[in-house]
This record gives sequence, structure tokens and C-alpha cells, in this order.
Amino acid sequence: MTVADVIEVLPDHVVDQIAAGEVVERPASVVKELVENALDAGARLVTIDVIGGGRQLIRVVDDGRGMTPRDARLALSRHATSKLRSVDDLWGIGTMGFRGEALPSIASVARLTLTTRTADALAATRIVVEGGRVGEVTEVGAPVGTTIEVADLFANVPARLKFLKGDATEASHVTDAVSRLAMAHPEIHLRLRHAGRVALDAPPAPSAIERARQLLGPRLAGRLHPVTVEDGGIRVTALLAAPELAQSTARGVQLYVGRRAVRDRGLLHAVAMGYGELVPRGRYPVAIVLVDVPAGAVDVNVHPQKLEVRFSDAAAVATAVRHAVRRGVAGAPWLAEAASAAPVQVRAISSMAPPRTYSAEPVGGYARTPPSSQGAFDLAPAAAPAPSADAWAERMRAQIAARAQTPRAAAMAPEPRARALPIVDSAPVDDPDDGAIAAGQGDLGLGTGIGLAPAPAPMPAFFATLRYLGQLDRTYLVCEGDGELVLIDQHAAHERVEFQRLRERSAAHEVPVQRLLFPTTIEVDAASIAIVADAADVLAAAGFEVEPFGGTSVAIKAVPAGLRHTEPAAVLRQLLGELAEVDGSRAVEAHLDHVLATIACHSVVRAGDVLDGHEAEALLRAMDGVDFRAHCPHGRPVLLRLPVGELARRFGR
Amino acid sequence: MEFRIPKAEFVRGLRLAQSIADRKSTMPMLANVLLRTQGKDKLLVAATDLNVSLTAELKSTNTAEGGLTVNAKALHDLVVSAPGDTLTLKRTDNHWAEIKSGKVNYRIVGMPDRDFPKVPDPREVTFGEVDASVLREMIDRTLFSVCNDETRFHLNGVLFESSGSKARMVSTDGHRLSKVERPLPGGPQLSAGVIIPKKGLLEIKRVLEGATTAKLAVKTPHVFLQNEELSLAVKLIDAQFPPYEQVIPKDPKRSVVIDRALLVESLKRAQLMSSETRGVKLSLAAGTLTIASDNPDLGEVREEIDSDYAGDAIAIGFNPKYVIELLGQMTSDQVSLSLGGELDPGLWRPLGADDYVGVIMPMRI
Repeated sequence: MTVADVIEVLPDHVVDQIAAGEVVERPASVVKELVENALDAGARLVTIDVIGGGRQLIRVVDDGRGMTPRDARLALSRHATSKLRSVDDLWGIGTMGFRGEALPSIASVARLTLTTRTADALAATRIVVEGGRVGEVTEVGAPVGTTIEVADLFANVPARLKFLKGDATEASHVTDAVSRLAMAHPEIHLRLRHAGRVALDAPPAPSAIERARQLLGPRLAGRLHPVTVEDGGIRVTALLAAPELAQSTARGVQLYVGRRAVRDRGLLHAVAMGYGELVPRGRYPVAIVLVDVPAGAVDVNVHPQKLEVRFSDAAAVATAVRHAVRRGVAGAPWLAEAASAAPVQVRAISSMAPPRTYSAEPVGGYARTPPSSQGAFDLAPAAAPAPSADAWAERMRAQIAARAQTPRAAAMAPEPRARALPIVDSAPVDDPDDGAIAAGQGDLGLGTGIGLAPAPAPMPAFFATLRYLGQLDRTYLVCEGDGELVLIDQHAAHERVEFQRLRERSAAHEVPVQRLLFPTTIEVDAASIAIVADAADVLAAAGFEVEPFGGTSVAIKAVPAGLRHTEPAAVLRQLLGELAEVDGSRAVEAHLDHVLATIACHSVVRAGDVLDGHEAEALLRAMDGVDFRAHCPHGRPVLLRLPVGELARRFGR
Repeated sequence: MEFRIPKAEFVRGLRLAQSIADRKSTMPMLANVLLRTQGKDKLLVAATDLNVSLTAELKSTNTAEGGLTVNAKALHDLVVSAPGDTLTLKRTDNHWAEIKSGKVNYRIVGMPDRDFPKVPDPREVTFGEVDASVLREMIDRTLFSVCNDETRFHLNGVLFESSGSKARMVSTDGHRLSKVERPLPGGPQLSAGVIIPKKGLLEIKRVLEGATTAKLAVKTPHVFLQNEELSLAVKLIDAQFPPYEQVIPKDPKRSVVIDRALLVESLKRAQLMSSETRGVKLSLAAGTLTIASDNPDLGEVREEIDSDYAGDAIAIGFNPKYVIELLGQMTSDQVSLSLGGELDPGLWRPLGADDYVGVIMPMRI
């Protein structure tokens, strides 16, 4: 049998599209690359126009140096760059870009028009590239600088187009990307418009804190506490928000290394560690952390979009960040109020859920993560062993594929940000008393719809087997379990029970909505404004009628009934945050949970209520019926378990 | 300082004073009542929580001049239970008060009167005499829809507008609004409305009890009310009341007249079947009004009332509590409900000459 030659060198346009797959993930990445180019060209003012979430049109206008006709043409071919001459330059690179990949990559998946003029040239050069083919080159009139228009993004890559989310979500990613660039470059004037509406306008700011004020809106910025610490060449500037502003997602933590917005689990963890017990488990602080390391101590050429960096001494950087945050927190004015709320320093197993088993969730690709025991001081999910990045990417792909196939399955899939949480294995756990089973804390449960979740396996009646001993401080139920002391927060427990009841009841109904006589205006961040405008129907389904009200204000015209006057604003902010992160339907579900949880919170026993034995036992029995994956987003732990062995150790036996 | 006073006279002043004195304040002085002699035959009694201040000029026989403050609640209870018809009070060393009544001697701790906060002086304002029952009625009809959320302080009171011949009171909690207008000759002539806080209105109602006329004055930042020897100064809320006229529907398309008592009864039945978050649905069709509500935990209820409605069918949801409270303040047999669309505010009025309206925002259910 003869074997024919099968291996061929790929044609250039295929190579470009593959490269584009890495660099250009979504409209926001196009914006990021183009604005970075503008910054590298010495621009002082960059104006970004986005239409249709970036799918229809992205236009980036800068007043930088511009390019000569020769450079303009060359810039569109791969690995052509003005920013790098040799491999050695890679260490300590001063420009944002250096690979010469962005423009040709973008050009290969969209219709790109480049117009550029240098100060010396009389006329500007305009080049149109369509699907990677460089078209006509003309001379036109234009101001000094470069204008790049990217139209019909991914029109020739249907597979990629399919994975884009709604316009509102993409628009909010763009706002996020621009906002991060603005944060890293306070001296530049950045202006972003979505469909002509100004979403962000950040004139040059004298300092990071000033810039943060522009970007975050007065509500948040007013509560930021700045701190700068320099140690061993590592300079950390952190703007820390008060712990009560903590969010359920890590979105509020912005990390910058050498003026690049990066994602770095280690640094994120370091920030959370810096806050210590002030921020409860499952929640993340709001903080902006800018790290500068000596040239040569960081490699930025790791990630195609340069979202990750590699430090030559990652531990030292993490330590510096942790120390800086800790010092900032210690010196912040809000510490005094919050310190009293810090939990008791007892090392014990505390978990959201009773020991129990879970049935299989039809989520493809979730790697089995061994159950891990968590001490009371494991602050954030980030503390849990994180699977490798590859495994994570693998899971994401599987998840995306699953979502594309069935929306129902997608609605059940835990959210990507929950990836580092200990995922309970689908197989029943042999030893139900293994206290190591940590239920989905934080946000794991948010995305799961009650009506859709498969029936859980029969649960061992953990709570009913507890022997109720008494009430402590009118707040905690003290119980004896099998070889352990179990403390239950009566308010949190009852809230869970009530929440579950409300949730089951409301599953079939729409949210009742109370309209307002006078719209209430609240301040939100720039990214949320775009969502308010574009996702009005989603918000309406959740019981909110909201309209942009100029600047960073929105007007609330109707609220979910049953919330007290001050609560709608907090719930809405949470919902907007979630909408930016996930698809509409899932955010609404999470939001409904939040509304229900808030209502549940009204109607239950409080800390300080005396419960007699019968009431306490009834509460314990009811707890066994609670699906803990559907815990309320308030996310405080319900119980604390002290093994007898731990008591023995403390008594020195 | 020493004075003699009839027990009944003293109680009249102390009763209001002890309800105003603020026991929970971080300023211990605010839990006290001020007693100060004025000339030979008057005793000034004053209490304040810094927002509402009471001053009473009681008839007394003074034998030594001076002043003193003592705990308001303790003094009131003590005087009420005193056996005699008259009491004598004398300040002794270290601000102790020695009280004698019949054969009973009390000694209670006091504090020096110089530390008592200065209260607005009613002698500095010009009062006009108004009908007390009209004022009381206007307060009743608006007080219930005041917003109780302290973060929205501009809604924590009732807007009071007065021209000297007519007066208007408006309150809203953001979900509903009530507005009443009455002739009020003798009322203050105000160029703009003032917001009287809820607690102040409750105290004003107390002072108005049993009175046929009262004296009223506004001198920013206070509203003053005087009934015989009692004077009240209430600190106004310094804020902008929302533009309420804009939210009162001008020309609603649909209108129906309903028997008020029947509707209230029906709403109360429906309320039993609605949870705190779910409203009651009012469906209008030619000739009938259907009131229905359901609660997944309990069940559902449906009731039909005859009506004069002739327009096209429409269904609108309301929080039954809001409607019941509003209708409870109306006195006419018949009330009218005017509606735009199902998401537009509902306008409720008593039928007749009563110049009173309630606006309730609908619920989407």
C-alpha cells in the first residue's frame, strides 16, 4: 500500500486565522490590542467607538505618531513590528505590544480599514483589508494619528461568532477592557462610546486614585483607601475598598503588572489574604492593585493576549502584595468598625453544608478534584487547590460545547469563576461523616436552577441525628453530633430553610413588581450603564425597570415587591455585576435567589431570639430538607463543627 | 429655687414633656425636663429631643427663683402618684430636688439647668389661630403614607403648604401618595412648602387633643404650635420634597365608582390570601369589578362587585395594604378609581366635596 504525502505547509490566511484565534477572542480583545497600539504610538487621546457590542464596528482613533505609507502596509503583515528588534528586547520590554501579530490577526477575521498620517506627510494613507487580503491603498485627508476601523468582526469565522454572547455582554467586556487600560494609563485621555452613547470618558488624571475615581464612580471611589509599599524593588500601589463592599465575584479585584491588566491567581489570592477575615469566604474584596517589578523580573510573553505574566520570583511578588494590602487594610479608616465582626479564632472545620452526598451533575469535563478539608481561615475559594490552567481551559471548552448544545445543561453548569472551588465528586462518598465535603460555597450554587437540577440522592439525615444541647448567646444552637460538637447559626439556618421554601413557591411564578411614583437614582460603574441600556428586558424579568440617567447614574422605576426601600439598590448592583459576568438568564436566576434570600432574611428568627427545645429541633429537622447547593447568596456559613479530637487536643489530653 | 404648684397643672405639662424627652440619646441631658421659675407666678417646663421641643408655661407660686433639670419620666411618674393636690419643689445642694406632697417627701437627683439645650422660644414668633380639628384631620389623612425609611429623609415627613386661607398636606413613601386640601384661615402664609417630620406630627396631634382652636406659625427652621399653655416647636426637614403634582394623573382614561365599605371588606378578604410580596388583582369589565388574589402557600380568592364601569376590560395589581389604608381615611360612601394603563398610577378619590386624593402605583403580578 502506498502512502501519499499528506503534510502541507498551511497557507498564510489560515495561519493568520489560527493566530487570530489566540489573540482575538472577542470584540474586547480587538479593542485592547488596538488601544495598546495607540498607546505605543504615543497617543494622548484615544477615542473608541463601538457599535453592536463590537460585532458591527469598532473604531479606534488616536492622535499618536501615525505611520508612513510603507510602515502602514508592512504593519499589516505578520511579525512586523516597530517595537522589538531582538529576543533580548523581550525582557524589560517598554511597549505594550511587541509581537507584530495584532493587526494581521484582526484583519484576517474582519474588514479592517487603516487610516494613518504622520506629522510630516501631506496626506494620510488608507488601506482596506478584507478577510486578510490587503485591498486598495489610497491617499485621503485625515488628521495626524491613526484610525482603525474593524467592521463585521468574525463574519468569516462563523464558529467564533457563535461563541460570542449578547451585545450587552460583549459591550460590557469592551467597557471593562477600556476601563482597565485607563486604570493602567492615567495620563492618557480615553473615551469610549457604545453606539454613540458615552460609556466612559476618562480625561488625563494626575494619579491612580484620581483615575479610580473617574472609573468607579463616586460611591466606590469615595471608599477607596490608597497605600503604596516598596520593598526589594517591588513596588505595590493598592487602592482598597472597605470590606463590606465585597462582591460575590473576583471582578472587583483588578491587578496590573507593569501597566498591564493581568489575571493572576497567585496575586488574587495574595489580595484576599491581605484582607484576612474581613472578607467572608466565598466573597472577594474590591481592590485595585498595581505592581511594578524591576525590568527583567517579569516575562510578559507568556499568554497570547498577555493576560498572564510570569515572574522570576512569584512568591516574592505575592508576599509584597499581601503585605501591602495588609498594611493598607490595617491603616484604613474602616477597619475599626469591621474588626469587631471578625470571626472567633478557632481552628475548626466549618462548612456550608452537612456531610452528604450529591448526585451526578451532567456537566461535561469537570475534572475530579479531591475533596479538601478547609480550616476556618481558608479565606477565599482561591485558597483551594487550583487545577492547572490546561485542565481549566479543557473544561471551559467542554462547557462551552455543552452550552451550545443544550441551554438547559448550560443553565446548570457551574460558572467558570467557581473553577477553583472543591467540586464534589459525582460518585457517592462512602463515608458520609467525612467532614471534608465542602459544598459549593460562594457562587457555585448561584447558577443552578432549582427546576432544572436533578433530584439529589437521598440525604443522610444529618441534622435530625444531632442531639440539641442548648442555645448559646441566643444566637447559636449547640448540638452533639457523632464525635463532634456542632454549632449552628440559628438565623442563617432558618434563613436557608425559608429561602428554600420561597424559592420552591416562586418557581412557577413571575416576580411581583412594585412600580415607583418617583424614580430612585443610584450610582453605578461605567460598565453597568451599558448593561442597563442593553439588557432592559432581562432586568425587567427580574423585577427591575431601570433607565440610564446620565453619567454613571441610573433611574430605578420599578422594583421587585417585598424588598424594603433601601434594598433594591444593593440587589440591583449585584444583579448588574452578575449580568456583566454571565448570560442574562443565569444572572436573572441568581438574582431571583438574591431577592428571595433578602425577603427570607426578613421573615426568619434573628440572632437574639430565644428558641425553646422544640423549636430548635423542628429547625434541625427542616434543615435536612434543604438543598445546600441552593444556598442563599448571602453565603455565610451555617454550621461550625468541632471534632472531639480537636477539643481533646486543646485540653492537652 | 422653690415653687408650689397644683398637681393637675404639673401633670398636664409633664405628660407631654416625658413623651418627648429622649431616653435613648447619647446626651443624658435630653432625658431630663427643664424646670425654671419665671417671675412670681409662672413655671417654665421644657423638654426636647433636639428635633421636637415642648415648652409649657404653668401657673405656680414661686418663693425662690432658679432652675433645675430632672429625669422627665421619673418626675412625671412621681407627680402622678403623689397623694396631695399640690406639690412643692425645692432645689437643694448638688442639684437635688426635694419634693413634698402631703406627707410624702422625695429627694431626686437633678442636673444644673445651664446645661439644658436652648429650645426655640415661641414668644419670638407671630401665631395665627386655626381650626384644630381641620389640622388634625389633615394630619391623619397624610401621616399613614409617610416613608419610614430613614435613608430617604426627604420623604420622612408631610409636606405642608399654606396660603393663609387654604392649606395642603402631601405625603408619599415612593409607592403611594396622599394629598389633602382644606380651607385653613389664619394659617401661615408660606412662599414654599415645608416638610414636617413624622414624629413632630404625632406630637402635634397630641397637643391638639381636645382643642377647638390652636395657634400655628412657621419660622424656619421650625413649625410652632400652641394650645393654651403648651407650645411645641418642631424642626422642619430641610430637603426638597419630590414634585408631587407630576405624578398625580391629570386625565386618566378609565374611571369607576365603587362602594367604599364593600371594597374595603373585599380587599381585606383578598389580603388574607395574599402574601406580603404579592398584590391583589382588580379586574374591571363592563358592569363588574373582580377582586382576586392568590398565595401559593394558601390558596386563592375571587370576589365580584357590581360597578358602573363601562370602559374596556383592564386588570391592575395593587398592594392591598395601600388601598385599605387610603380608603380608611376617606369618609364618603362611594369612591372613584381612575386608571390609565395597567402600569400607570391609580387615582383614588372620595365622591363628593372632599378635596382628597390618593395615588397608588400598581404592582405587576
